This record gives sequence, C-alpha cells and structure tokens, in this order.
Amino acid sequence: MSVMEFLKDLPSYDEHNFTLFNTDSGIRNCSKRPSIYLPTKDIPSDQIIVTEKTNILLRYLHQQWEKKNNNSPKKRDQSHIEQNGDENRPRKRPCLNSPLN
Amino acid sequence: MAYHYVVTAQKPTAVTACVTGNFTSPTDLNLLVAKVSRLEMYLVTPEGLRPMKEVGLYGRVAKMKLFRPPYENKDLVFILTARYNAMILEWRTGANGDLEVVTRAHGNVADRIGKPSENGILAVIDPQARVIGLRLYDGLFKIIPLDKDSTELKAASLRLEELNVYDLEFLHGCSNPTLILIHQDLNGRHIKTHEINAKDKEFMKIPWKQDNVETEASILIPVPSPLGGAIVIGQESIVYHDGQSYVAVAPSQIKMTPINCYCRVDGKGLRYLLGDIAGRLFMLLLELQEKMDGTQAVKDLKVELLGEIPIPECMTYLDNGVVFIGSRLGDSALVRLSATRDELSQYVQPMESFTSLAPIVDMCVVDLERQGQNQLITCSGAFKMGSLRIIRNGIGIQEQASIDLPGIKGMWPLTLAQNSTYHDTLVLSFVGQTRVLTLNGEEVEETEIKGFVSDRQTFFTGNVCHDQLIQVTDEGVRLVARCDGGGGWSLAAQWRVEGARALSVVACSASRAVAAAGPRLYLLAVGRASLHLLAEVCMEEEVACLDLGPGDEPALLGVGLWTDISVRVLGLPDLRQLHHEKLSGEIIPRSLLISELEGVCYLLCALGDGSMFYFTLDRECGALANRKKVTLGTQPTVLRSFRSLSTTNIFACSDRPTVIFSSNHKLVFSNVNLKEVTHMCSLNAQAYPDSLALATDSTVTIGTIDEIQKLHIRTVPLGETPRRIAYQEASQTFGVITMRVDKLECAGGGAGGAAGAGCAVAARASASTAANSSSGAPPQPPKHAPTALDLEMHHLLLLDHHTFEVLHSHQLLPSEFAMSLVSCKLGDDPNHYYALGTAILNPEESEPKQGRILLYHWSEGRLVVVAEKEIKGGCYTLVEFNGKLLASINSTVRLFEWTSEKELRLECSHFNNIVALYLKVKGDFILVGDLMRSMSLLQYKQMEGSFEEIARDYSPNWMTAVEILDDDTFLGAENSFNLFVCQKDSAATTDEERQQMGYMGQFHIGDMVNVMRHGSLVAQHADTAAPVSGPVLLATVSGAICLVVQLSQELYEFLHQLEERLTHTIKSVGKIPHSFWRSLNTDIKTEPAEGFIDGDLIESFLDLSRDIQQETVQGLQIDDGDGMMRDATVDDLIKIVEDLTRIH
Repeated sequence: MSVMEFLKDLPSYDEHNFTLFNTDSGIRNCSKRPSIYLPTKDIPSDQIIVTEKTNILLRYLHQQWEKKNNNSPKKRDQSHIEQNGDENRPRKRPCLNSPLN
Repeated sequence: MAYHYVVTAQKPTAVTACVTGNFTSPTDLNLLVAKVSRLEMYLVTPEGLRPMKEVGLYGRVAKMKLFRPPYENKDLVFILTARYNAMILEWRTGANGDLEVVTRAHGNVADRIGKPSENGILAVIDPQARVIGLRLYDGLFKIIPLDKDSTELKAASLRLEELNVYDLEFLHGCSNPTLILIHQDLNGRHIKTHEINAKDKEFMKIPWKQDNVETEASILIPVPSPLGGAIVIGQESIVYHDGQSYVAVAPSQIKMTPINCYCRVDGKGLRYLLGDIAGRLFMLLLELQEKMDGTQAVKDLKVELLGEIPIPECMTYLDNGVVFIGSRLGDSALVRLSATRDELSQYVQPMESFTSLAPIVDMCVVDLERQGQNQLITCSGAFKMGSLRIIRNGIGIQEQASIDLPGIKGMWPLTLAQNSTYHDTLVLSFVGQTRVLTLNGEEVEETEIKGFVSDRQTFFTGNVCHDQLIQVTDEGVRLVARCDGGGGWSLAAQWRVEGARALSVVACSASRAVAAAGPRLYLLAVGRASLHLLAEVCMEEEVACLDLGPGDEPALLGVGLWTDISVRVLGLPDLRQLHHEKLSGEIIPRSLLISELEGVCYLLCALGDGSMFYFTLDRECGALANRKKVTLGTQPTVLRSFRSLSTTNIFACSDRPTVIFSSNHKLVFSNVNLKEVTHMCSLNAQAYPDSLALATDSTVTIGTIDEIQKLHIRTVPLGETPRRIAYQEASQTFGVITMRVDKLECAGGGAGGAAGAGCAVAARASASTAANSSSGAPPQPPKHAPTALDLEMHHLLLLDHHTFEVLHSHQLLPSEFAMSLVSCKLGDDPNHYYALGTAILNPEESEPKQGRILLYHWSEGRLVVVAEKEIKGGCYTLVEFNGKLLASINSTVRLFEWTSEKELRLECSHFNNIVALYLKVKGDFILVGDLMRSMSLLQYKQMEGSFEEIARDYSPNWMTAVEILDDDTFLGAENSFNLFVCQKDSAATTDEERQQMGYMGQFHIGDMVNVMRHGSLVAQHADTAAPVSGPVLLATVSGAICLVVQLSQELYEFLHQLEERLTHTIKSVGKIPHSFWRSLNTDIKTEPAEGFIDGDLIESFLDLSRDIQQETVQGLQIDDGDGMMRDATVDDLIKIVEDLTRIH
C-alpha cells in the first residue's frame, strides 16, 4: 500500500529528535515564548541590494544596439570600403570645431 | 492637536511562513516561523521544539525562503517585505554566546512604476543559489544575481511576456537558472520554462512548455535532481512533467477542496505532503521505473489522505516524521506522521498546539466578574477552527502534579534532610488531623514525623533555628528536634496554653513564635530544645489574625482584631502597642501579612468579604501609612508570601486568586488563571523547583508560576466560523453569529423530481449542531446556486456567560447572511433584546437588495422572535442609540424607533455613502465608516427627527474599523494597514472648514484592524499611574491585540524624543529604518508618521542593558514636577516606561 511505502523510513536528521516528546497528557500547548532579540550592535551588512535604474526598454535597445554592433562589424567595414570605393570624400565629415565636452 | 500612544498587548499569532534548515549552526536543525512582522527561531531537540529567539522586523514578511550558497555551511534566509524591502539574514552565535541576527544583505527592490501583481508577490531562489527571482509587478521579473564578491547585488528587471502568472519556481539540475511558471491567457492555463542568462540579465530561450494544463492549476513543485522537472497541482489533477514525459493523475479525494500548500519530505524529492483549505493532509508519492538507458523516470503519482490537520497556510517537515503546520485561521500545530493509525484511523497525530487568535473578526469587552477587570471575548478562527477566546490579563500556573485531597485547611513545606536546601516534605492540615507527605523525586508518599501530633489540626509548622521543627496546634506549641545520630526526630520541648481558650492563630519566625488564644497573645522564644514565654498581653478584643515582621528583636507584630475591626501594630519583645488603625466597615479581618517587597515594608490585611487594606509600615516606629483598599474576591482571603525567581511575592488565596508583587516600588495585582485557591505555600523541592503548592476544595496542585502580567487565553471551540458577538447582561448570555458550511447531499432521484433537490447536512459536529435547543428555518434546498456543493448556514447562538455552553441555536433562512448583532433595550420596553441584521443574498446581484432586522428575546430557556422588519439591503451594523435602533443598510444610515405596538418604525435616514460599513455613537453623534470614503460624522437632531452631516474626511480611505475617541477626535483604520486620527474643528470660521475633518495623526500599524472597542484589559486598581486616558482596544486579522491611548502634549513630546533616540540605539534587523516602517503608506501616498508614539519601541527600552539605557537617556530633559527642566536619569525613564507597560 502506498501509504505504508510513504510512511516507511521517514527522513531522519537526528534520530533522537522528538524521542523524548511527552504526549502522555494529551496534546501539549506551547506556552514558552522565545526571548526577544534586541540588536544594539551595529553590524554593517556585507552587500547592498540595488535596483538597476536603467529603464527596461532603454536596456533592451542598448542590448539590441550592442548585438548589432557586435554581430556586424564586417558589414560596416564593407560598407566603409564600398563607400570609399564609390566616392572619394566621405558622406560625413568629423565636426572638428565643435567642443568635445 | 491629538496625541496617541499605540502598543501591542498581544503580538500577531497567525503563521504566514515557515522553513526548516540549519540556521543557528551547521549542525542545529531549526524551525523558523514568520508571524506577520515577527520571526521566531526554534531548535529541534529530543524534547520537542525549543524556542530560541524572536526577532521583530520593520515590515510585513511577504515571502521567506531559505537557501545555502555553495561556500556556506549553514542556511541563510531571504526575506521580502510587503513594502519591497529585501534582506538576507544569518543567525550566528556572537562573542558572548548569545544568538545574533546578522543582516548579510539588504535593499529596497521596489520600482517607481509597475502594476503590483494581483496574484501577490512571488519569490524564488535558484537551487544552486545563483540567483533570486522576484515577481512583484505584472509583466516584469526581477532577478538578483547572488554574486559573493561584490559589495552590491544588482537587481535587474526582465520583461516577462506572460502577464498573469500564478506560480513560478526554479527547476533543479539546469546549467543555467531555469524558471518554470504557470500562466493564464484567454485559452486557459499553461506551463512554460525560461532559461535565464544571469550575466546579461535576459531570458535566453524556452527549453519546453506545455499548453493547456488544468484550468485551476495553481501550485508548482520543482523536483530535485536527478529526476528534475516539476509537479503541477490543480484543483482536480496532479501532473508531473519534465519536458519529455508527462504523468497525470486525478485522485477523487482532492476534488472537493483546493490544495493550498505543500512541503517536501525527503531530499530526493519522491515524497511530498499536501494540505488543502479544509485542513486535510495528503501524501504525494512519486513512483519510479527504470528506463532503457538505466535512468529513473516517474511512473506514477500516488495520492492518499493521511488525516486532519489545522487549516494550513504553510507547512514544513522537521524530523523523524514530525511536521509543523502553520495556520492563519487558528492554532498552528506540531503533528507526527505514523504508520500506525489512531482510533480515528488517521495517520496524523497532533503533538503540540500553538495558540493563535487569528483572525479576530469581532470582540466584546466585558467585566464578567465585576471586579473592575475586563475580559476580552473574541470571535477567532474560521471554519472548523472557529472559536471564542477569552482573554484576560493574569498570571498562569503551569500544573506539574496534582493529588486529590479534599478539606485542606493549611499547607507548609519542610526540609527534613540534613544540609539540604530543598524542601522534601509537605505537611497538610485538616480539621482534627495532620498528614505528612514525603516528596521522593516526583513521587509523593505519606509518612510520619516522630514527635508530631497527627490527630489535631496544625496551625503552623516549619523549620526553625538549631535544626528543629515547630508544630503549633490548638493545644500548644511543640518543638521537634533530631535524635542523636541524625535519622529520626523526637519531641524536644512543648508549651501548652493555659486556660480554657485554645490557640487559634499563630505566626512564627526562626526564633520567635507568637500565638493567640482568644484575646490573649503569647510571645515565645525558640531555643535549643526549649520554648519559653517572653511576654503575654491581653488585647481589647479577640485576635482574628496576626503576622510577625522580619527580624528577631526588635521586630513588629501586626494583629487584626474581631469586633472593633482594627489593626494594631505591636513591638517585640514587650508587645507594646505602637499603632492602632481602625478599618472601616463591619467585616472582620481574616488574614494579615507583613512583607518586605523591594525594600518597602507593607502590612496587608484581608477581610472576610474578599476586600483588602494595605499600608506601608514604618519599621522603626511601627506606624502605618498610605492606606489603600482593593477588592480581590468575594470570599474570605488568605494571604501568604512566596518566593519566585528570587523575589518575594504575595499570593492572595480566594475565589479569585491574585498574585501581588512589587514593580518599581508599586504594588501590582495580577489575576491567576485558577478558579479558586483556598491555601497555598511555596515549594522548592528537587523534582519541583521554584514551585507553588496550591490547595482547592478537593485537590492539591503543584505548579510553577509564569512571568507576571501575561495575557491568559482560554479557548471555547465552536467548530464553525464566528462572525459577531454581543453580551447581554440581563439574560447572562452571549449572542454569537456563526456561519457553518454544510454539504449539500442530493436526495434520491424520485423524491423531489426537480434537479438539484437536496438537503443540506452539517459537515461535522459543531457549536450549532450541539446546542441544547434549536429553532429557526428547517434545512431546505437553496433557491439560488443549486449547483453549489457547499451551503453557508448562518446561526444565532446563545451561550451561557460563565460556562460558554451553547444554550440555543437559531438557524436563519437559506441564503440569508447574518451580518450584525447587538444587545439593546429600546424605548420604554423593559426587556433586553438581541437585534440581528441580515442580508439575503442573490448571486446575480452585485450587492444585497433585501434583508431583515430581527429582534429576539431570550428568557427562561426560550428564544422568541419579537419583531421582524424587512429592509432593502444588507444590514452591516446595528447600534443602540438613544433607546432606538440605528442601522447601516447598504449605503444608508437609518434610525428605527420601537413603538408601543412593538414594531420597528423608520424615523429618519441619511444617504451619503458608498457602503456604510461601521457605526459608532456617542451622545447625539454618529461616526460612519465607509467602504471607500473614509469617515463622516452625523448629528441626530432630536427635535426635527433627522440626521445632519457635520463633518467628513474627504480622503479616499477604504475603512476596516472606526472609533470615537472623544467628542472631536475619531480613530480610523484602513486596508493598507494604517491608523489615522481625524478631528472635527467646531471653532472654524467658515462652513466649509467646519465640514472638513482634519488629520491629526497617522501611523502604519502594519496589520489589518478588524474591530475597535473602548476598554482596557488591566484592572483599574489604585496603583496604576500612567498619565494616559481613553484606552481603545484594537484587534487584527493576524490575531494581534493593540491598545491606543491618548497622551498629553508634554508626555507625547517627551516620549517622541525617547522614541527618536531608541531608533538609533536599536538597530533594525534588515536595516529598514523605523521611520519608513511607521510612515503612512497607501497605494497613492507615503507620508511620515505623526501624532502617534510607537509603544512597542518605547517599551523595548526596558530590555536594554543599563549602560545602553544610560547612553540613550544622555541629554534627555525632563520636567521635575514644578516646571523646571533637568537631565533625565535612567531611573526616571524606567519608571515612566514601566508605568506605560502597565496599561496593557
């Protein structure tokens, strides 16, 4: 019977646990309460849980952008070559006179 | 402005989560239980669960999960609070051997935007402790990668395309953390897995999924490796799925009630326990078969009913077949699984219960014993765990042993063994005889002491100087000494009283004995084998009682006299009268005691009617001062002093036994949880250390006394859900509305003909089925919802106010819900009635359109319906108001008068609410608590016979309870666990301002308050002195009882400073700031707390060590009584805070 199979050899961490539990006088009512822990010592915590502030959409777009950049370096190179091949001067020129920060 | 102090008298008792693990050391097996905002750590031992530490959190525990990182040798706990504070806690033993709780990581994981999930917060931890996953908002899944080396744990949100997620878990044995979830869309419920790339913080792929699992699938159980996969629990079926194989069963036993929790039994994951919402425990066993390639696979799932348990909220397997069942709806329990079935043929045996008041739905405050000490009767628990709880302030005695012995007139402990500090003998005196009991270990046997008289009643016996025993009987005093060589005893000296009068009262110290025969007093010196008379005096009247003060010479003797009803103080050795105090009245003194408590000498004198005078006694001149009188009982009282935990206390034996102790140089009176005690003595035997022996009319009980001022809780099980309670003094009954769930049993096909013709049958015996008599609607099929299998039947029960026996049960109509109950006396009618408000429910209607108000009269064991009034809606509240009946019916407030024709006639109505849920009245004022429109104040215009709305709070608060604190101040509780105080401003200049209630205080109490009642649990004795007023008791869903009192502005400001200092002194576990926890928080706003003092924080001052108290007090200014400010001392603060602890 499966109940017997289930109840046979129930896991035991320490075989002594609950062996001295006295149920002679019926169901016991637990009246003992644990003492209260009142910390007054400041123990700094090892780690702080922080939430990433980046918007989930922005992160997604960044990821997509990086993926694209990582996945297609050749393409860009090719287009660069093609561009160079087709025209002598590049379509865009670096803006030299604008201050960089 | 209004100032309030809010303090918890009874901490929450509902268990919301539990886990088993090795927390306090790598080898300790611990149980960790979460009770709303408190954590309790237990150790599993051979004797059972041993409480270790309790920790308060500044937040409500929403999820608690254990995990063990690969580099740890014990378990850690991850906790997420309802306000999204996450923390990882570790329990460890500090340098001084004390257990301490270390916050390993903490932070708030709330997002500024996002729709909180309607299915609640879900939190899961990867089995290899690589990542924590949280579902807080719909459509988002938050991960916290557990990176050991960084100082920051960076939580990130992932987009979860499944919006409606019911449960989720991490699968075992996956190379990347892999999530499995149950979600619902238009087509039904489905399970789906997601592999997570924790580094890139994105979902990678969907390893497998299964569309269209059962429509009510709600729980996922991940199965450990090597099997892997998960079990899906539905309403009717249980499915195992691992991506390839799929095993399903539909056991008939689970069909009726949904399964709501589970726990894994073995590490391999083949055995599970399932609990359902009816409180039944099932086993789930995975049966394996070997596949072709030699690996194991699931062949079948076996489900069997094991037995009845408390309705579980959570459960956890401890050890050796013992399981902890945590409940929100009643007492939690420890149960043992065993293969041998008990008489009820269950495989589950209860071992221990953990008292819980949750949820408290209603309560009443009554002074049943008329001693100025209130008791609280709560409607607690639900369904089969429904009960009434009688809560009162008092001291508990834990019974260790008892002996049946009727007629005891006195008891004393003796030490017969040489050089022993323990008592080993108990002497009992009866009319005309004395018996001696030897305590041999736990065994008690009768014996004799040579030299003792056994055929007379002993008035006193004890150990006295020179290793001798003294015995006093009516004929005289006997001194018994050890025979040469040790073993035996023999009479060494004897003193007989002369004259016709026999001795009647006596008092003894180690070297002196004072005895009285009629009006004559004799002082004897006890020497080595000698007794000699030192002095003899004749009092004016006969001596009724006497006691010797501490010391030999000089010492004081207190004497109470017959006839002139006075107390005299005499000085030893010459028995000269030092003080004379007349007691008022004609009741003679019966017991007198001189006792030194905390360095103050008191003389207490109890009278024959249960009252007691007490004085401070000047040890130098014998003068009595500070006369006070209290009532302890109604019968002659015997005063005895005893020592417990190395302090001296006084026990007043009477029909209402009381322990009197001194706290901060004040006498405190505390009830004892015993019905009657006639005599008592301390007993410090080896088997019963630090105990008391207590005699009643028939028994001697040996017990230990627990700590002072504890709430004592008595349970009256009902077995059905109590909803409302009312007390009727005139008929000495309690009226209780209960709801019983009946099973609908279909009658035979031919009987009624119509489909669904059936009969409701009570599912089990409960209060309403076991009543002495019953009345009301006969069981019949409901008109509506004929397909429902369960039927809710509402009853009015009448219970005896002393025995709580169910005298009568009255059943209401099918589909009629009892909503409100009040005991009232209406108009000129001399009778007291129970008024019951109902709603008749029709499932098609959004709110009740029909209802009744019924008036019942209970007299001579009969319940008579006096009146019945049809109303157009549900009657949420009934209140007696100026001899009329005030009712809130759906959105209206209506006043009914009781005519001479014995009819309820509508007098006036007020319409300006969504649903008027709560009513409170004071004079002509009515406070209305609305479903969602906060509170408003109405005035009843007697002349015009109409209501006028005077003021209103215009904030959108969803109310759960309201109360009138005073004429202008109103307390409200709302459903985001906040308290707030509103005040009407009658002095405002414009009408508009007058109509608006102003906020005068707000506070996050952190629990849902269901009911508020004026009153206090503490006896109103002379010696309670905290300067507070207007106590209101609050009871909550999680079983907590809180007290709100009003404070003066000065005290508020002083306590506020102390509170501020304590927030720095006491470090918060989980690093949640106190100000964050107590700030008013709703869906739409968060504002700092104001106008309330957190009494729980203030009272923790007393638990700090002296030097930390000193540090905290530094620089705090106190008014010294005449307006001058000076630095407060630690003792000033202890006194103030102790006074405050004594209000609850």
